[in-house]
Amino acid sequence: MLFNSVQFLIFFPIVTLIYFLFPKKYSYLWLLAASYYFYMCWNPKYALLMLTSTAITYASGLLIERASSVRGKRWCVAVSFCANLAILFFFKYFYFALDNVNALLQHFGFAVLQPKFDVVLPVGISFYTFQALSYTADVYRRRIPAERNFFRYALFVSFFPQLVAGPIERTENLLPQLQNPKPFDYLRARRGLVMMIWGLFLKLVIADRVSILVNQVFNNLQQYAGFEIALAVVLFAVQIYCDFGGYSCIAVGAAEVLGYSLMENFHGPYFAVSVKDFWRRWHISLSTWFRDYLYIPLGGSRRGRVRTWLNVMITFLASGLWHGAGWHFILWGGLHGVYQVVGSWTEPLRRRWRTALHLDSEHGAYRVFRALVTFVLVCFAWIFFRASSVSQALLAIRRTFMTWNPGVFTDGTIFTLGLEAPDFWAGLAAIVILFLVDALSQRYDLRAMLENKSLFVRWPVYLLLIFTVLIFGIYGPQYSAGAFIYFQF
Amino acid sequence: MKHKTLRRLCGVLAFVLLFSFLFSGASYVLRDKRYAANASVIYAEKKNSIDVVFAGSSHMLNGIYPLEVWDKTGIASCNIAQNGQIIPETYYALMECFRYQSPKVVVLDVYKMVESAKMGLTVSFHFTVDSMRLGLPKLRAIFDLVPADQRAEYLVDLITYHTRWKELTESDWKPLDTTLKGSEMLFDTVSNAGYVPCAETDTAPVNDVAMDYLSRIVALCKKHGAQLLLVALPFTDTENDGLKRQQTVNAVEVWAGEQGIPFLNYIYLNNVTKIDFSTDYYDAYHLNDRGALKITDQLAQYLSEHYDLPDRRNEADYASWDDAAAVYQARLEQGAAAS
Repeated sequence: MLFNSVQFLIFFPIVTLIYFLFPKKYSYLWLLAASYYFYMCWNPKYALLMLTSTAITYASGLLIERASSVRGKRWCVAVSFCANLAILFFFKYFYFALDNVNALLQHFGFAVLQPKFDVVLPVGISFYTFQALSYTADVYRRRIPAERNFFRYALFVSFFPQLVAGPIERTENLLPQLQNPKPFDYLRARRGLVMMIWGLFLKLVIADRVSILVNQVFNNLQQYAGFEIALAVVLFAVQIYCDFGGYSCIAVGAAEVLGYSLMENFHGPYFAVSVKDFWRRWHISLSTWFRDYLYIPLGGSRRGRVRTWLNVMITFLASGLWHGAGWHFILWGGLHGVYQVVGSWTEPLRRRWRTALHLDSEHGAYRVFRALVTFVLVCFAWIFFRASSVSQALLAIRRTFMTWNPGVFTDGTIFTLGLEAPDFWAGLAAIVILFLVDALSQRYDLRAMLENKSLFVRWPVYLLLIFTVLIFGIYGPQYSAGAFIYFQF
Repeated sequence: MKHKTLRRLCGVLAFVLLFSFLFSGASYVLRDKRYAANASVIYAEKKNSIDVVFAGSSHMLNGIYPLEVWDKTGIASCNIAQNGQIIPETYYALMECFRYQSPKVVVLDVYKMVESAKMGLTVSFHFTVDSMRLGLPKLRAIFDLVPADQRAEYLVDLITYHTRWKELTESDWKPLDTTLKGSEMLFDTVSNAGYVPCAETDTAPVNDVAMDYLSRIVALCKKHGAQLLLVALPFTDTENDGLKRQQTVNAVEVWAGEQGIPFLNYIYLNNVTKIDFSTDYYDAYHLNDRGALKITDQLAQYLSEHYDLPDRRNEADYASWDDAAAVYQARLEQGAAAS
């Protein structure tokens, strides 16, 4: 059940209504049933997989608390991590590993391995696995006590708003909220609904619209070159932000309607002034997960520069692998690691230049320059993310630089890339709105500002947003509403 | 506290009402209205003011002009037929019609009895239900005829039409033009000279689905006190797709005879209608204005002679029909002159 589906439009109000009518003490059981139903709409069998991960991490929490020795606790953590990562590996990386093993075997003249079964990637497995693992780690670190109630813990792992594409919630944030459900709050529900509609705007009006052009170019790279590919890359940067950011907004908004506060997952990522800054604003729940449960345990920045760089590289390579079973994803992660290592390495040099040129690092124009450079670096890395393979990514790069054709912007060529002029301009207008909202959000809490306005301001804004989604959104029988990109990670 | 809750409830209700109003307006503007007029004519006319309803497929839509019937006989009729509409869809269109009109005679075109599906072409079904007002007939049509995974686009047609924002024209913002009382005039000409239909005694088995819904139409008309007249308008069956269209029509004629339901098989009434195969067809299946006028005049005469239908020409409630007839005549002449 996608968030941008008719089923969800029926599912969500019914679940919400019954949730608030349920006795408060047992309302979590209703949410648990709804969450499992939500998940089973994709493939009922994979609910068993989620249940297994839930059972393992639930037991690990109790055992960690009961273990008398540190060694015993560590064993519990290790078993929980190994079991969950083994499941994740099998379902997500089996074929990737097999292909690489087969390539090696072929290289040395051995027969290739043929599996006798099919593995289908369960939706959202990376998200709930990481959330469940963070629980094990948090109990081990004594950040939170182990949850005794299995069903409540199962809801923590399966909470439907953020189940299949995050945000990957922290135990200390979500679990206590599940233990103390809040009654219905009109203003909070209204705020949540606004967030959900904004998410739908990002997903349906922008992401699904620009994806038509992006797919056209990336699926036919041999036909395009120069600025055609560059435009597709920039629009992919917008697409993936709006696709994933849109999903996160709907998740956060839906949870808010139900009375739960989820973490912010994006904060104007393309206003970042460095790649490091980008990762503080992009997929925040994942980047902080890797920071807390991989980078810091590896030693973080406490063991010298070289070791810090190594830790950064390991973290970002792992992040790349988390995003997909393919070398191009690993390279994408690796590129972000390299950006940061090089950034850290050249920082003293850049500081000297700034001093010599009397540049104020906080000056507006300089910040814009840095944001532009960061955007270009991030876009370059997105090529590896979007391409179907490393060779395709290299082809895209080669073809981008093989010709200088700025004329495509003026001779009508851009309207032949899948989006005709009206759709192209509508998409562009929506992107301008997005960046304006993002820019203002850096300084103001726009939702709170809107809340404080009178009905004569709020209602037109609500209606304008709703009808923009309804009329300019890409959905319905003429278009297959593309699945949210982040589901398969 | 209670006061606050009540105020908020009223606010939500007002917002929902405002939203619904705007949503309905947006749906109307964005809807493909090419064939919305014939589906809406039953609402445009005064309640229970129509005495004869013409229903069925495009054969009926293009073949019978209600204002020609008016000119010749003073019978108040309308045409609710739809392009590609098949018998199950016609059943629900008639059900909706009976909510607003109480025709004494329903003239049903049986050309689509050859179709065994419950739902025809997507676009035809859209034209059939999009303009229907929300009510039981519309809901029953959608839930009975449409596969579950496709129902949403018919329940909320904005799902299909919202992409039309880039092709809207001035006419999309205007009210529907139901002047012609639902009919559509075609003016081009294709010659089907030399075509010979199969023998009237040549029949083919009729599928169960169409028969089931035809029986339902019979029951529906009976329930509402309307007399059913089955017709087959002239067409040439030249497609080599295995569908025995004329033979099916002939089989329905046999069935109608057994049931005591009058049937006019115009395919074989050429001695009366004088349809000229070289000048009266728009294509292989549809009559042009010349053919339609011949058939309409014959049918109007038949209705006048065989049913107790009032001549409304001098009734005050029907004063606007003469104006509509004048517009009809002007368009007819204009179209004929241009073709």
